[in-house]
Amino acid sequence: MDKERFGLNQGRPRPAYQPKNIRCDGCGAGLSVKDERAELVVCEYCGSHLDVSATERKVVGRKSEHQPFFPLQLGDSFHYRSARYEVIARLAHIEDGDTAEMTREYLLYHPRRPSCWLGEYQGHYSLTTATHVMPRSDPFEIGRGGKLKTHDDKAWITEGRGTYELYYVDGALPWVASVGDRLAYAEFAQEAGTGRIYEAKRTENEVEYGHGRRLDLEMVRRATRKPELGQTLKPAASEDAAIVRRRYVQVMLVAVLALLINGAAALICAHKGTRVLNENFSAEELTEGAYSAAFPLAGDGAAVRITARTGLSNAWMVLEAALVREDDMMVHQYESDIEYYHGRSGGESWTEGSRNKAVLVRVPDAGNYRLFVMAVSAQGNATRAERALHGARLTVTDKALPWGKFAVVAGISLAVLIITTVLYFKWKEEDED
Amino acid sequence: MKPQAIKCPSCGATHDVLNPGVVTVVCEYCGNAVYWDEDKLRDAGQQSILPEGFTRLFRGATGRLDNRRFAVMGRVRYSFGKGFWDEWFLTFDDGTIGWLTEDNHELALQQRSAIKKPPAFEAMKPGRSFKARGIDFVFQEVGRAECIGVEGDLPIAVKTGETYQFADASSPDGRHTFGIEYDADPPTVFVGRWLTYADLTLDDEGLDW
Repeated sequence: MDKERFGLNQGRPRPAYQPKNIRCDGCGAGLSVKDERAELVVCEYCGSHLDVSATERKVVGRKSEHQPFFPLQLGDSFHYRSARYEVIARLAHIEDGDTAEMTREYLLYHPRRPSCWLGEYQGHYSLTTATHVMPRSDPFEIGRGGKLKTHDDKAWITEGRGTYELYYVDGALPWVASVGDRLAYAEFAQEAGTGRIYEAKRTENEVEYGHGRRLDLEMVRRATRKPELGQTLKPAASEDAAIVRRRYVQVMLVAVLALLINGAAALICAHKGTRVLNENFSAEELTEGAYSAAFPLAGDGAAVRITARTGLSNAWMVLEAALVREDDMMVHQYESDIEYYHGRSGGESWTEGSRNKAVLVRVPDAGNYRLFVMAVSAQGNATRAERALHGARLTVTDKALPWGKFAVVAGISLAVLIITTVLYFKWKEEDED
Repeated sequence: MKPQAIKCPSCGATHDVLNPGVVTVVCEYCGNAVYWDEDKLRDAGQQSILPEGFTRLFRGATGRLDNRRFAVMGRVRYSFGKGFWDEWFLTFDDGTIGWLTEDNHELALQQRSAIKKPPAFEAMKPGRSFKARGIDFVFQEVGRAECIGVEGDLPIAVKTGETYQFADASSPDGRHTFGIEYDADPPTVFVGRWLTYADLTLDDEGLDW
C-alpha cells in the first residue's frame, strides 16, 4: 500500500535525450549542443566562439589561427565502464609559449554520468574525473618528486607543476574559456606505482581536484574503436614520477647501505691488529740504510701491514723495506714508490699522489724481527736521486686485516650515491625549468 | 489514504498528490505552479520549464537507494552564476523524504539537519573549515543561488526567480556534504554524503543515448 501511496511503482517513462539546437551568431549555421551545461560553443563551420551561458548569446572569440593536430575528433566515441561517452570538446594547452610542449584534452560527455577528461601528452594518455578528496597540503608548492598526501590516506608523488595556457579550443565547454587563459596545475602519481593519478587545477577563483588513471595506447585504441590511433606518433618514453622517484631512492639507499657496510668494514679492518713498531727514520738514516728496534711477529701467514708516513711536498721517494728475522736473518723484502705533488692551476688547487703508503705482507714464521729501511728521494721533477732528502715514520702492525677492497667498494658506493643524488635533483629541477 | 486532488487554477488540469508533505505542484501541462497553505490554493504563476533527458534522474523515475525504493517527485534547479545544479525531491517506501543534489552528474543524498549556530554568511569564504556532527568540512562554494526552474511535486514553496545566499562544503575525504541555505532565520542546513554511481540504481537507467 505504501508503494502505491508514494507512487513507487508508477514510474514514468524516461524522457528522450535530445541535444539542444542553437544558431551560430557568427554565420547563422544550426548547431547541435550535446551538453545542456555548455557555456561556450565553438561553431564548427565558422569557428566563432559563442558564449551561451546567458539567455542572450554573444560572440566572444573568432576562429583560432592555429589548429593543432588532434588524434581524436569531435563526436568520436569513447567506451568506458560499459557506457559510451562522446568527445564534445577539445583543448590544447601549452607551457611557456612552447607549442612542442602541448597537452591535449578531450571532454568526454555522457548525459547520465559525470564527465571525464581524456588527456594526452607526448603520446601518453590519462583519464580523470572530478573528485572531492582534498590534499593535506598545498599541492602547488611541491616540486617534482615531492610527496603529497590526500585526505583519503593515499600518498602521491609530484609528476610536475606549472602553468597551462589555453592555445586552442573547439566543441562545447561547460565554462566560457578564452584562448590565452592560464591555469596553474599540479599532477601526481600514486606512490605505490599503481598508475593512479591525482591532479589539482587552480584558476583565479577556484581550485578543482581530479583523479583517475593512466591509459596505455592499446586501451585508448580499444575505447575509441580506433586501432590505427597513435600509429604516426611514437610515444615518448614513459615516465611515471612515482616509479622514477622510487628507482632513484632505491639506488641511493643501496649506495648508502653499501657505503656504510664497506666503510665500517674498512674502518674496522684498518684498526685491527697489534702495532708492534712505530719509529721515525731521518733522511740520513734512510740514505745509509737503518734497522729498527726489534719487534715480535706471530707468523703463520698472518698479515702484517707496513706503513710509511712521509712529509713529502712536491717530491718523490723510493723506499725499500725488509723484514729481517733476528735468529736466522731471513729477509722479506718490499719496495714502494711514494710521491706527493700539489699546487694551484687556473685558480684551483690540486694534489697528486699521497704522502703515505701501506703494504700488506704475509710472514710465514713467528719470531723477533727488525725492519730494515733504505730510501732515496728528490724534490720537484728530478728523475734521479742519490740520497734521501726526507725522513719517514714507519709503523708495523701484526695480525692486520686487509681493508683496501672494502675501501674501494665504499668509494664506488660514495661515487654512485653522489652521481645518483645529482641526477635525482637534476630530474626534480627539470620540471621547474 | 486517498491522494489529494489539486486542480490547476490556470488550465484546469487535475493532479493527484500522493505525498501529504507536498506543498507545491507544478502543472505538467501548463507549467503553472500551485501552492497551498492551510488548504488554500495560491497561484504562483508560470514557471520556467526545465529541459529533460540530460540527466540520469527524471521526474517520475523510480529506483533503489540504501536498500529502499524511491520515486523522484520533483526538481528545483538553481543557478549559481557560473552554472546550475539540480535538487531532486525523493520519497522513499518507508515514508521518509530526501533530496538528491546533482552537480555535473554527481549526486549527493542530503537530509535537512538541525545544527546549532551554523556560521553566518558574512563570515563565509571558500577554504574555511567547520566542524559539524564530528566531521570536518571545508567550504568550497559561497554565493547567491537563484531558482531558475521547478517541476513536479515539492515539499517547499519555491518559484522561479527567488534567490538566497548559500554556502556548500565537503569533507576533505570527499565523502560528506554540508550545505547552508540562508533562506530563513535560522538558515536551513543540509548534511549528506556523496554517492557513487553504483550507490543508486534506477528501474530505467537508459544506458543508450
